Amino acid sequence: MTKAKVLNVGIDLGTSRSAIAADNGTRTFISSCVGFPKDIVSRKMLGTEIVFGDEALKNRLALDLYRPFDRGVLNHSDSSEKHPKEYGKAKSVAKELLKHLVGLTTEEETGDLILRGVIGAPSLASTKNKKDLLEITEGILDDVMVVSEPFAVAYGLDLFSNALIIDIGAGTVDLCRMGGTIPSEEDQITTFKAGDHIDQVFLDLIKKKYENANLTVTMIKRFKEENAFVSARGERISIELPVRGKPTSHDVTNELGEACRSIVPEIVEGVRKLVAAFDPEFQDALKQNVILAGGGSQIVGLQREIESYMKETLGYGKVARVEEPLYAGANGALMLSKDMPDKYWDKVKSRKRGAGHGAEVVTIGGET
Amino acid sequence: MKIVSHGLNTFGEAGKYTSATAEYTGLVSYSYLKRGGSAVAKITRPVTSAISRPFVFVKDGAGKVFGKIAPDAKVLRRLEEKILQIEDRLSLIEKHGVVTAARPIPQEEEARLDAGRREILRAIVEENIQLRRGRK
Repeated sequence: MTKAKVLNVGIDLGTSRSAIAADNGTRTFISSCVGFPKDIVSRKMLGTEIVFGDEALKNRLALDLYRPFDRGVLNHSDSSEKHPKEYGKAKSVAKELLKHLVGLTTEEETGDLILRGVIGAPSLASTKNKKDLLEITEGILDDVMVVSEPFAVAYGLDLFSNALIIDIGAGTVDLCRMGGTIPSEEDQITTFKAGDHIDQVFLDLIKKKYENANLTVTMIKRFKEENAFVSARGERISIELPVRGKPTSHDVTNELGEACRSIVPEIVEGVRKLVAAFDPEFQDALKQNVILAGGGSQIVGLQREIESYMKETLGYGKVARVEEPLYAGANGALMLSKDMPDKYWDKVKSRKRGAGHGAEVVTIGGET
Repeated sequence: MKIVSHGLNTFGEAGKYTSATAEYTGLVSYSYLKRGGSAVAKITRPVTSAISRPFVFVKDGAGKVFGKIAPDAKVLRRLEEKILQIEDRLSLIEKHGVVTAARPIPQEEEARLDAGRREILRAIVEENIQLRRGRK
């Protein structure tokens, strides 16, 4: 029997980015895309059979590029019977992505490891969606649990009651009301006007204004991430876009602002519904504790924008943003994994002892 | 002083127990220190010898006392004092983190979790069990 070290990981598999946090201090994220060389030339040029993240995006012309997640869940998860081939491909690509992500945390680990992970899923992910997540972890993680993503954020922030978490991702905006218990379906709302929606609206608006500009979603995505805003900041925002091959500066201030604002009404409507259906005695406390998380929460002025909408519709609202929006979900999931006692892990154990890493968990004196 | 044979046997038995207990306790202490590794053992050699000295004394003393038939009140008093010393040392060792194997060491995670948090974790586990069973 060999002594094996337990490594806890918190994972947020997102439509655009996937983040991981481990209790050995590793914390990183990559773009959720995987590329396979198109032919022998590209394979030779890249020197590998598979490319991940930004590296894949950079070399996308030489690659067959896949994004395994859509709207926070595995691609074709809900239409697996209709599209079995695409579903199978999405699953195998997601598995590769997860393997790579987990590998980033175990690079410097030596000896036997028992990998325990908690994975975040969108608020209203179906059983099938969650099962898919469990399946892609097979052979990669030894023990795994799935939790609602905004709940993981709340857990990480130690906010169990009278708080409303808004997790703005690329594919979904998840709203979750914390009332001191595990959130039920009534406590959660998922909307699909999220980061990708902003990109699409922004692209359409630019194309409409500058007909000759040559651009793609990938081009404007990064630009949006660096410049997104909803407030009137005064300064103008320009983007360089090729027009007949020549880089030309284009003023996109109004277009970007409009695109970013396009997600706000649905978020505020979700907030209104969750507040209105909450115990009247605690509604004020809930309105004072709205927390923004996820990549989309980095939009400048979004907090104030939501607050002003809340003032209009609910009379009052106080919105704060988490310190590390990109890692909030992964951090919370990691905390859950670490806090989970061994005996609880044993209850959901799917690992075949000794099969993956040839190891037994050794604990001294405690309940296992 | 006349000692009846029955009383003598009981006393002798008690002596043997005391001797064995002293020896066992000494060994337990030694094994804990030994577990600390050779580097620690080097540093703690003076300490181990100091700790084991009273045990050796008691063991030898007890052996001598109970080996002979007539126990002396003076010897008994000294023995009592030494046992008290041993108890003091044991409590000192325990105070500094050595615990007996019979007492379970509380796991850090268990100690850190309050009832509410444990309840939440339990609910998550239940949810995941249901998910695996496909009932949710």
